[in-house]
Amino acid sequence: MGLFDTLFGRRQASRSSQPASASVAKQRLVEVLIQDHVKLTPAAMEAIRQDIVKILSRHLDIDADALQIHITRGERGESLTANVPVRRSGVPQRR
Amino acid sequence: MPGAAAPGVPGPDRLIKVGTMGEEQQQTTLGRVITFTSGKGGVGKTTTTANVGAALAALGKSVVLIDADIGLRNLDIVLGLENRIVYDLVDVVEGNCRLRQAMIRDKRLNSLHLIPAAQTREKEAVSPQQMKALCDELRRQFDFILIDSPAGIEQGFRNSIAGADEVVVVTNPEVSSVRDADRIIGLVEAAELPTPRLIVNRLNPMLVRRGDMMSVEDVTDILSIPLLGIVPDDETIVTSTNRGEPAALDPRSRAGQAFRNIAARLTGQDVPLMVMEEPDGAFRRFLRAIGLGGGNQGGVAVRGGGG
Repeated sequence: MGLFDTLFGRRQASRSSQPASASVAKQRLVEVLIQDHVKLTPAAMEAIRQDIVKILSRHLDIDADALQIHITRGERGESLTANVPVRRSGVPQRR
Repeated sequence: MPGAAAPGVPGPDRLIKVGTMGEEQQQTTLGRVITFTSGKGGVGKTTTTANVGAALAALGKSVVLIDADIGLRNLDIVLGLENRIVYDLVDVVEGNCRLRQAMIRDKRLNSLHLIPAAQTREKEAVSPQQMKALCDELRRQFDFILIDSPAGIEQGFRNSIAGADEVVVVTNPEVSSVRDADRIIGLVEAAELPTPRLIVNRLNPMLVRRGDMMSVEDVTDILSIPLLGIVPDDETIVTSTNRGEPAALDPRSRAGQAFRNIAARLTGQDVPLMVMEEPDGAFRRFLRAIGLGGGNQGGVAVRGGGG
């Protein structure tokens, strides 16, 4: 890091533990644009989550707490992905 | 290059319908109506429209600029034509004057014209149908009709794209203008216009290099539309706007060069994207030469397809 950088406020090495602000901006934009496009409220997302848990639980022993739902952008627009950890295969034990 | 209006291009006045007086001459090929819009205000739509228009005129094209920002007239003052307005866009659509009476011919480039916005009227004074009819009329008389859209997504914007053949979205590499650009792109596509092209304006290569400004590639990744051009953040824009002289006519202006490149691309030329130098390039090169300037080699080459 040269004198110029030091004098003129170039990003200091000690701050580099934080991600650069441009990548933060990009990530925030990607997320907000998904919200803008899909228009799913947090309440609607929660309802989807609960319904997925309810339906899959009929057939599989799933880890409902670890279930993750993401909406991601792809070549052909947004897609919803659910990652549902399965504790073991087969019909869940009743009772 | 003031006064660089290309000889051999028919004087636009002769091309303009003159009603009952004289002959009417029309172009055999129709001109293109291109709307510059952004959603967010303050990203440089008016500056871009003025400079691309001036650069197209300097290339010998006949150009008319329409300020569609009714109530917030500005394209006139950016071009230095503010003292010559008699009639405006609303006068044209209301029939208070003939079309050519509302066209101000630029002092420097006689193939460049402006139809100013009305300053004391509402956006609703013009309808999308009227704008479309006006564009159809102008398309027969000019090579390029450039429309400076107001900010926002309401009627002023709808008027601006009503007669457009193409749309150019202007954005800055920061979160709010990119988000608004995304919204505008959706509205343009919903209006069944072709996919708009993108101008990234006010790029600061030094901030990009140190990771504090989104790169052109970041912006095009997010917006997924073709890139028409990149304009560096450049103080010559401030000084040229102060004087009412488009930076595109200043051969030493970096931003002016970027606008000239954009104009050339609009005419179909394949112009490579500019290599963005540091705004303080000479000083930094000097510091590097004497061993003080850090390890960076030259400017940041902006990446990204299109152009």
